[in-house]
Amino acid sequence: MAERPAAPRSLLVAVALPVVALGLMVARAEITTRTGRPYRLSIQGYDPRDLVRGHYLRYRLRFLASPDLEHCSAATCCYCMRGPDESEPAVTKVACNETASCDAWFPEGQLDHLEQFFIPEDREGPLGSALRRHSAQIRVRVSAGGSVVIQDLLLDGKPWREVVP
Amino acid sequence: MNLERKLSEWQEAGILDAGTAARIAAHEAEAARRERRRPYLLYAVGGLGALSVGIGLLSIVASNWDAIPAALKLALDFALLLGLAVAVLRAGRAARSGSAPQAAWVAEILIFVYFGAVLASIGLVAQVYHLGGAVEDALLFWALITAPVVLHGNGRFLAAVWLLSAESVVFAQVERFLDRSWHRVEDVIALTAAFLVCFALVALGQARRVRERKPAFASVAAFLGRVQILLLASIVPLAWYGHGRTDDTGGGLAAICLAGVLAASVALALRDDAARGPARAPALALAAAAPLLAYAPLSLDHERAGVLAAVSFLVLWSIVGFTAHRLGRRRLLNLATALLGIRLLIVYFEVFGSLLDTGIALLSGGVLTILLAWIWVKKTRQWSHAAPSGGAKREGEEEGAHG
Repeated sequence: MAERPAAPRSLLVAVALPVVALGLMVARAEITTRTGRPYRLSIQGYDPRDLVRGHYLRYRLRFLASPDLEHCSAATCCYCMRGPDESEPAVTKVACNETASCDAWFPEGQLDHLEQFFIPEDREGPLGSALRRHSAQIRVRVSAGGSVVIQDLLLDGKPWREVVP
Repeated sequence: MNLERKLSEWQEAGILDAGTAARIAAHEAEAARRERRRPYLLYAVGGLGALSVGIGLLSIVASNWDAIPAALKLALDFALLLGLAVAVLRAGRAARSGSAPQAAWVAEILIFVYFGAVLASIGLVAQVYHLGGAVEDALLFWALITAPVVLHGNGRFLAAVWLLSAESVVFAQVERFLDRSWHRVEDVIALTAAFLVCFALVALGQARRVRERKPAFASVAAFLGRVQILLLASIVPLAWYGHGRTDDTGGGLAAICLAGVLAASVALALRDDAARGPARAPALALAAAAPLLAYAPLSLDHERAGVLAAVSFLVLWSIVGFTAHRLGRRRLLNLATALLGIRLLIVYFEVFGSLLDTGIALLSGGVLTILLAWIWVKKTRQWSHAAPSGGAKREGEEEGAHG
């Protein structure tokens, strides 16, 4: 049976949808990067490979191993951060409806987002070695709505590109 | 079927007059000429080229090309996407107006490249902003936002790639759900999800509106669904080679899932226009047998029972062969009989491998192979001569439609 020709409006909407969706993805991340509160979180790491998003460093956030991290039994839990901007905050785990007293917070579901950092293909080895020689942190921005974006990887407090040329 | 010979036979039998026979011959000749004009090679080469472009874009993103600043990478990426979007629109309009003879092919290739470029863009944005999360979420997002533009394509290759991508996303989400809910992947649930996805594909292919508006898409969906059902029913019974415990799989859960899958399978077979007339009974038997054979090793306690795996396979493909015979699908019949022969050989070597010297086993196996081949050739010739009158024409139509 013959195919009917595509209607122009439906094709316009169809090709525009991915561009709009990606634009919104960028806009959301950019807004968080520019307006979110900056914090530094200490890390320790290892290195697998993700084909869809290139090479990345995977690590553990040090605050997760802290005995001060309280257990949250609520249906939805959030990480509560207290401290001034650009500091390493004190992190606790609370119910998401109890975050009013936090300086910043994010849902525990976003933790996966924070445990990997994308690196150039040819920097894998040197960066892995540098992580063992220097203290490492990730600089994050946390929006008022609980979105968190990684801005940079810091080695001894400096951007990693300054330490690993 | 040799058309000229059959037309001659029908005239001699008084079924057709000379004028009707001439009109049939002219009609079939014109159809064959139209078939030869379809640029299959062009579509195949173009499809491979587009796939290569898509993989190339993904690889460039994956290399995380540090020489270019992130903002410039994003700007270039969006420029590429917009350029592709405009090109798709223009090619689509040209194809619709018929102003350019190859516009349909160009539109198809551009949609395919755009499809791949969107995935690469998702990866790039995630990389630039270090957006974490599971790969299956990224793939789900990709499948959803590209579905409308893919549906504007008409090619089978694009339809197959999108459908397989969407299936992979569904299975990945199911696996994650099972892992989070049960803290293990339950075999029976995974098998049930697999069957339901296959049924969804077949149902999509059978839906009248889809068949009318997107015949290539419908055809690919139905084909993928049916092939995957046969694969499930052929491969899952290999579980008979291991140990099965219903404490592990949940016998009651398996029974409930089997009942649901069986009902859905039979319902789809009853709705299938292709399985009417003499093919109805074997098609229904196949619809019942496939789920039963697949669930059996997961539903019953058993020790190693390789013979049941062999029996399952032989029963399944015997029914497939008989169904193909009733439908007049010669190639499917040949495939079924070939697979039956191969499986019989495997059974033979499984039984005798540990008991006889290798030399005697190979000698007798070789004789058996020759004998099976002779029987296969003889029987397929007999069945092709005895095929129902509508079946051969239906296979010819199918060959024409599978372009």
